[in-house]
Amino acid sequence: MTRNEETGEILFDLQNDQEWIDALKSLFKETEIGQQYKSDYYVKENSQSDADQLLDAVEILFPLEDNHASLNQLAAALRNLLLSGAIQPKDKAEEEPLEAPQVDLTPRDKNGRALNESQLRYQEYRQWSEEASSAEVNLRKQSDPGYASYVRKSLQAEMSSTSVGDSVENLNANRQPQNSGVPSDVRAYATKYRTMSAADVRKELSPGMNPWGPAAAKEANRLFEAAVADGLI
Amino acid sequence: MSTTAQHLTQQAMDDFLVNNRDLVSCMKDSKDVIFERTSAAASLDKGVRDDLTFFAADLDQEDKYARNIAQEDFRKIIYSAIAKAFCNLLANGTLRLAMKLTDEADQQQLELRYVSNLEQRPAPKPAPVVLSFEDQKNAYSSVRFWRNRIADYDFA
Repeated sequence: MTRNEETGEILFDLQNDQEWIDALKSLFKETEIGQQYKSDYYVKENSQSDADQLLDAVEILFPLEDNHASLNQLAAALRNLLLSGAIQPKDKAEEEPLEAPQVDLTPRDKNGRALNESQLRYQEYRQWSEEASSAEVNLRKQSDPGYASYVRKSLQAEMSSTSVGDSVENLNANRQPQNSGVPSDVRAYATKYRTMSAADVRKELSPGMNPWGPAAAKEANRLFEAAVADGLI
Repeated sequence: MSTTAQHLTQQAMDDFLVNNRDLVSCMKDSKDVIFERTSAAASLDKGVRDDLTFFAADLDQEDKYARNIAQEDFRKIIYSAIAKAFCNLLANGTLRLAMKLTDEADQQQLELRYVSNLEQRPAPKPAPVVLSFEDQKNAYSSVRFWRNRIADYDFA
């Protein structure tokens, strides 16, 4: 045994049998990895081959000029042997049968949510309808109420979304009256105007015929013109 | 190990994890454990250590072109050593699979065996022979010659 003058470590002569045994004893007693080997890896039958492997590993990892190695070098070599599986644990875990990875094939919508039963059925109806002939569709409509309902709803949706292909078009459809900025008195006048006869309108608008006088006729004219300008009349 | 060598080793390990991500994701052990064990196994390979010692001397040479070549060679050796260690660890049960390999993972494992020279790549199929116009003409005239000879031959 010698001492490294720089680090102060004790160096064991690996060629000397007695020193090699002392080094192994120190390794198993003083180092954590040695104690781990002793408890989890040591098998008496393999002890000689383990020691040979350790010697080889030390020579590979720390090319030795004079066959001297420190305890830390032996510990590092043993650690690498245990990590690399060159020395196997005595109680090796049994191989478990491997399962194939589970692939999630649940149909999902564009937002990644799983489709519910109704949506899946609808999807099946749609895909089937794209490939089936009209005779097959009619046959299934009679035997499958769910499919008949799907066809009916599809037709309704198609009819409501598609305009009639002639020149007649309901221009008032979805047309909102532009009365958002109309004063309430003008709107009230327009509502009253629609219920009045032509004679009553003429009487109200005429300054000479209005029973409340020219001022009332003037006010009625203002309301009338404002209602016309706002498109209410 | 020099800083450059450490950097290249880390780069090779990163490449390994990226190139074989499907295979690594099928493993029971974490990336850190895989790295630790493959490093330990590769460090005990005497051939690899000799190669690395040989190439490590040229990693920081002055000439840029030669330096790049040396670094690329070093990185390839490291990658190959990691691949070989990984395959050996998988074979001796030190690294364990968590599930059956997917097709991609299986392909990646095979590629690792090729890279680490544990298995030979199948020889590529020979390219079809393309005859020049002259060669085709000669071949056709040769066929015609023999056909005529056979036709003229008196078998009786």
